[in-house]
Amino acid sequence: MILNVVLGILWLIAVPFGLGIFPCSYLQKKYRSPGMIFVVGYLIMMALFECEYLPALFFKADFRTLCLIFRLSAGFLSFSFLLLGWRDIKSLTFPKIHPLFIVFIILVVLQCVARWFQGVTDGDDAFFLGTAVNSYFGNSMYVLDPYTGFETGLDVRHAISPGGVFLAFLSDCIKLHPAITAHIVYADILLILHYIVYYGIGRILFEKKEENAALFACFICVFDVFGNVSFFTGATFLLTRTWQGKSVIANLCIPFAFWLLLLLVKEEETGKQWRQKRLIYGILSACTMLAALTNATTGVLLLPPMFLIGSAAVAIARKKISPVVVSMIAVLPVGILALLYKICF
Amino acid sequence: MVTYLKQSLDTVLAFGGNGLLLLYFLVAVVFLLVTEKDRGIRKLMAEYPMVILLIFFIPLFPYLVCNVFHEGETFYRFLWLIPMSAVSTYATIVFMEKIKFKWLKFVIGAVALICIAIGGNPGYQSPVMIPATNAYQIPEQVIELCDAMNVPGREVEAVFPHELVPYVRQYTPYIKMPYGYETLVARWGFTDDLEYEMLNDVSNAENLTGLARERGCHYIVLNKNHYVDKSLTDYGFEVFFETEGYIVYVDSSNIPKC
Repeated sequence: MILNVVLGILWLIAVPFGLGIFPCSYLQKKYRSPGMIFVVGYLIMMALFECEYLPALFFKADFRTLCLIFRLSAGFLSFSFLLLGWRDIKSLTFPKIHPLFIVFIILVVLQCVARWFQGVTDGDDAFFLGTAVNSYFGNSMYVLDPYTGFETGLDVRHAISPGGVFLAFLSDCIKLHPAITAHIVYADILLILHYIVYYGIGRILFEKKEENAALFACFICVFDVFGNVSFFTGATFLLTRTWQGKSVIANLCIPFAFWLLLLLVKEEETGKQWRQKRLIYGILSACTMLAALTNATTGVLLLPPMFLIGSAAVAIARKKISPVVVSMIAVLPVGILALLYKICF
Repeated sequence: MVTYLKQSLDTVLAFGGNGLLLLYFLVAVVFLLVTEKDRGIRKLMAEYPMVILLIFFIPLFPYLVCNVFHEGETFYRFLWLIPMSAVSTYATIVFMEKIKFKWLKFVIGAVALICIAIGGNPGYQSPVMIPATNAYQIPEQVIELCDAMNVPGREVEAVFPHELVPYVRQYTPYIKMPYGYETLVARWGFTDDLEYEMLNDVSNAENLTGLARERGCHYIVLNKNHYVDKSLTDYGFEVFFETEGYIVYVDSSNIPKC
């Protein structure tokens, strides 16, 4: 148990935090919160996983080899970023503690606790967790059919998005069964990341009055809890299949992309040191798209149009073409990866 | 063209539930279009969602998604790009800020929350939610059955009743199944003779054991409420394990050993 906790702190908190700190050091101080660093770190971790997973799949490497390579690279990158950005730890902006913020925290904690006590009869877990269990126990990636356990040819449509393998990696890091990791640990992390992003959106929208950011986040909590209007909504995915790749796209990647677009619109307004920031915006956009691809194939169809349309809106608003150009460049990595995948497999 | 328009409309209506939240969102968009002074925020919070919605209704779009990308089943996910809750909430708070009286702000906030509650549906009451009985959040029976069938150092093969099929390989990779969840979803079009036999109101014991043996199954798990015309013990299977609701038979000519 103590080992699980120590490994959990290292791989689920310290490494993502390290990965996020350097890119976030380029953001304006008011947008540089510990929570957003954590979110950025997770998205970079997912994006990096996709970039290392595809060659591993091509060369038929086993799961543990991928884990080893990924641990070394993510650990090294996290440590390097921590060294590069450690000075900025002192200048982080923490949320103001006031009654509405406390209400928001209580609502999030309640949702996290509720997740521990609710099983879900969703059939898609048969694929998602089946894939994770195959990788975790069978040391293989997309060799066995997750539904039956028999050897099968590469499932080309799904194999480009290693959400299940990433879950197996997290399980391997904290030495817990993938089902426990997904339903309890990863689900709670994703819920927290989701609300950090929305709080971040609130902070951009209500720059002058932070209480409103907390109110905004409380409303989002209520929307999420009552959002089960149909099978289709992101809120339904958030509550019933938090850990699945589709839910990660709907509730983390897309809101984060929206946060980035809002940031873009604000930064384009001020225009200070914007060349560097455009680069960071581009890198974060590219990472978000790759992270979405890691989680589900739909990511490649959803995020690029979102960035292109959103950045076009910013470009029109601020009368500058550069947001669109940066977004177009940011789309390239995911586009090239998808194209290479199509050619190679 | 009409078909695609209808598909888009049906998807949006299904996305909107009883329509109140959709209406709330549309009112919020109009409010922001009229009142938002920051051009950038207005573009992203009001115009961008409308552009996404507009694209969704251009017939070429569903055509491309369904016929070129073959993502017809997941077409609705494009609606995730519309930040409905963020836009509705932002407009509500901006509106509240414009009001002088504190008590009236509370009233408007409360009305908004009531709208969300009436227009929405609590996720925790979703039929897919069941109380978790263990840390795996997998039905207890599955764990009990899988543990009983587990043979250290090797894999075994077993046929499970439909209600347990999706969970087995979420728990253990050491039990293979002749058919999995993919066969249970009719629209995916997979068929399996053994699955048909398991699905029959009254299974034929001879067929069931014959097909299971043919497929190399060591075990057959039956729900105690499921009818089989004869006992499986008449066909070379013997009772191996029992739980409250299920009975496990093992093929006596193919008992898995370590």
